[in-house]
Amino acid sequence: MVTGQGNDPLGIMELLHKSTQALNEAESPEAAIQALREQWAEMPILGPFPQRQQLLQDLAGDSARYQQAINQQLSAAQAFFNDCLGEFQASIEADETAPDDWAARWIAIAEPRYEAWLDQPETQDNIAELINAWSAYTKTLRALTDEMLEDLGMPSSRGLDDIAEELQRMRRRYRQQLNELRADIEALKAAQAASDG
Amino acid sequence: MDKTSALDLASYTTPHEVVSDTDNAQLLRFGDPALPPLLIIYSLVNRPVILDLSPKRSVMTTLRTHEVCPYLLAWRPPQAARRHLGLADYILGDIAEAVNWITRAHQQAPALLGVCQGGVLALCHAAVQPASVAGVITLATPWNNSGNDNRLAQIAKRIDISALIAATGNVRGPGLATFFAALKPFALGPQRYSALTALAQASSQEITEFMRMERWMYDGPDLAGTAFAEFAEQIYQKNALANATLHIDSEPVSLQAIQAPVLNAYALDDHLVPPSAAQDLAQAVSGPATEMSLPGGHLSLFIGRRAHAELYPKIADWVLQRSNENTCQLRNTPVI
Repeated sequence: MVTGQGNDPLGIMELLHKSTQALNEAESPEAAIQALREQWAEMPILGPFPQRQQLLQDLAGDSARYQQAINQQLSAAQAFFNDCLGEFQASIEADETAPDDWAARWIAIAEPRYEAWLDQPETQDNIAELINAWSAYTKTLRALTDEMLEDLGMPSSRGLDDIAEELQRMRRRYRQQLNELRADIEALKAAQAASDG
Repeated sequence: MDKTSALDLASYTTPHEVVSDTDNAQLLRFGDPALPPLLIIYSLVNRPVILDLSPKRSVMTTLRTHEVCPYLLAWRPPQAARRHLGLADYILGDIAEAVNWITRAHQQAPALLGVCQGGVLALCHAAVQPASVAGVITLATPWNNSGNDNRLAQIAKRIDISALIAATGNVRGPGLATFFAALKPFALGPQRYSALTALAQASSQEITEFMRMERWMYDGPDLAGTAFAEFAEQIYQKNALANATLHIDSEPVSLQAIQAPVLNAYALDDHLVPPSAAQDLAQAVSGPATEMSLPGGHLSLFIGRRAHAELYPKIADWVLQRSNENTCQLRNTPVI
């Protein structure tokens, strides 16, 4: 959270000053955007629709995280495929096999390497981060879309989810009552059998 | 025009009838009701048509040929309104209802045959209501996910399941199928499709079988978000079934409570449920247990020639034995 002093309690002037400085020092538009994002990430949310502002801010962060996760996974996959291709090239240069056999050879080279690559903790971390970053991005996007749909008086996913939760509560109650009824009938049957016997 | 459009890719090949409906499934009967019953509990992840792929490779046909009456609890995929269905709904609801229905119809408790994830559901049911089943058979069942070679569990442990479910609601079947295929992309991609040229001279039966398998692989049903999250977090991340820390609707689930006989079968080269995840169930349950391993991968247990020649006849014999032991000894589960 941005904090300031004296006649700049929220640190706005200081933030503007730092942003100007960061823009001056940036060497590319991408670096400038990144610098501004970092500077303004701590800015408190002011003005109307604070929740939506927060969601938009989150969306930018989630999008950057997802992009980063994709880049990381693609780089790792590229390194893996380059390794396999190198091995494959060396293999077909070493003996002159017919092109008809190349597919089988490629599979024989790539498959075990792929499995070993999948078993590496870094690969598993990358895959998980890709899924986690996508989840965070989609969750925020969904919440933002819900806001807009509700503004238009249209059904939203969280509205439908409320109904689904209520249905689930009813389903559970119904099953519990059914089980109680079954137990009652069983007890009645047992009592009847005892009195008959 | 698509040459496969006229093929039947989704139906069962073995004659059957719908005998009952539960909240989330249909109960299908594939055999003679005078024969001992076996209730097949399939995974929620894929469609059970793999068990009845073709007349030559049908678990249902093999079992009924060996004098067993197979029932299948065929799950209805949940839509958005059922995203909060949990494991308890399936185990204490649908499975319990199906078991009661069969017990009433046959005047004897059925044996359960749980397939993959369905094996975990079957074990949970047998642990919670041990007197209601004549025995439990598990096929490729990931009941113990502590092994370092368990790729699926290792990745699952790193995933924020709650965030995933918050984003998706239900989990999309095609997405999950793609994830599974990505664990073995060369065998399921270039290797599988390079065999397509051989199909140029194939019979319509072989083409149908290939396309039915293709449809099965990539046309999985959606999964209820809550049930998926409970399974991933409890069974994979916390290994709660093996650690005896699992609760279903606040009720503790202990494998030690299973006193009925157990037959546990798994494949030695299964990349989805490795032997470390499936084996040694005998050490966890209280009743007599038999372990059986077969060479091959995950699917070889369902469509492999060896499985149909050795495993399913053995399963049928095992069910018949249980039935003989339990004849005239109706278990004391409330049956209404």
